[in-house]
Amino acid sequence: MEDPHKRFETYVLPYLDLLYRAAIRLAGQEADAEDLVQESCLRAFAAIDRLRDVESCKAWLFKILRTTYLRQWGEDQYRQRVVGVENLESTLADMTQVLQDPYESDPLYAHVVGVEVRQAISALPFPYREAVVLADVVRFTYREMVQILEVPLGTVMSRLYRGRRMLRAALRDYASQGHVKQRAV
Amino acid sequence: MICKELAKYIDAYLDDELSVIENLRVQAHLVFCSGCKAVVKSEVALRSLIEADALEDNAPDHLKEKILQQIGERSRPERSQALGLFTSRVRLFLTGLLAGVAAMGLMGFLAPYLIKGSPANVSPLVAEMVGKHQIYGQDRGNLQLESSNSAEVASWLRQRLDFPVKLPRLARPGEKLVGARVSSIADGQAAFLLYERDGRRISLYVFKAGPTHLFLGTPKSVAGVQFFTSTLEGYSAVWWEDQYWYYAAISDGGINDLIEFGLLCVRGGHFEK
Repeated sequence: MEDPHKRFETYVLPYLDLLYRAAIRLAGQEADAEDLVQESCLRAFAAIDRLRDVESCKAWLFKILRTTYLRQWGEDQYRQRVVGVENLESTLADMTQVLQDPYESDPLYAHVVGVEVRQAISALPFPYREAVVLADVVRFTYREMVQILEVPLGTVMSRLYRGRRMLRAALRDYASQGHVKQRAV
Repeated sequence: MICKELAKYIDAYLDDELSVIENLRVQAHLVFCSGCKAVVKSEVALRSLIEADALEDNAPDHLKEKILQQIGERSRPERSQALGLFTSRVRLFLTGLLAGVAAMGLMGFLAPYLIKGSPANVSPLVAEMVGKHQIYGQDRGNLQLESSNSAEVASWLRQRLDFPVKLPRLARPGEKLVGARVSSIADGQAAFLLYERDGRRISLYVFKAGPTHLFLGTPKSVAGVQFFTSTLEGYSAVWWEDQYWYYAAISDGGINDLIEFGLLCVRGGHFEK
């Protein structure tokens, strides 16, 4: 019979960096991210005996991280925004708007620095932020995201689509500001 | 496929979520449409930017120490109870562990069913790899790292994958490493490496051994190495097992060329430090 400490070290600790990367983008601040990861790990340890399929350990952990975040940091904020978000999704502009984005004039993010990327992600409304973080930082598949977020596949895809477009717009602003600053120097 | 249709597929295309057939349709459109190609290129740049930024953040050492310390403190009372009273909580814990062990026997049964839309009589994994070869192998823009330096590529992959990748030692003129990206096979993590050999592009996938019953091909033993082969729509696929990992090579060349390449991996392959 495997010792819970050993299980924790084998299955949870390898994901510590990944949990922190996601947490810092969900919570926004390093101190909050540390608290969030710490609390999530303690919850994971308490439930480690219920982790049966170790292959799905990563999704299990991020589900705990998300639940912990919502309980302690963002549940009210999330609930208040759910109605608004669903409305937004139902009135989502045609997905072909991606073709009207000014890609030609994209400065290709050459002037965006890392901290601005993180800030831009942290500034997204939570449902879009978590979708972008799970897909682009943690690299979950859509199917895994369906399990973690407990929403239908279509909702995962539309939140991801919307989140990435919002992020692109925000980074474009950063990029053009950086570009302007550099020209001014 | 027209531009308007492609727009709906872009995210799923770049997230490796399309079926082989859908991938081929997108790829066919991109060959002729420079506008959509620019959109895809810019979207790849966005994802690379997010990923590169994320890799800079690692959990601080003191956080790990703090977590381990707290876990040690929390579990101490439970251990003393286990020695004394064998409480219901401990009984639950033991039951959970037993059930966990039993459940491990079911591992690996779900992933194969996630594969979509492969043609009949062809392993879905081969179809998936051929589809991805067509996407990643055609345009260097789809690689996340462009480099012919195998040490650099191995180190880059090591930071992103849960397992080490053994790279083939190339010696002949006309063969070189082009670059790499992190990909997936059957919803599991996979390394994707692109090579050029005698003017042909070879995709090499490395992933953990998994759903073998969906990966059956024609066995062929060469120089003491057991290879499996298959063909699909003009593409050849050769794969072999190396310890706990599968290696699979895809190209539009012949099976024998790929087997020769495979032998380079098996015999001359080395783990870069």
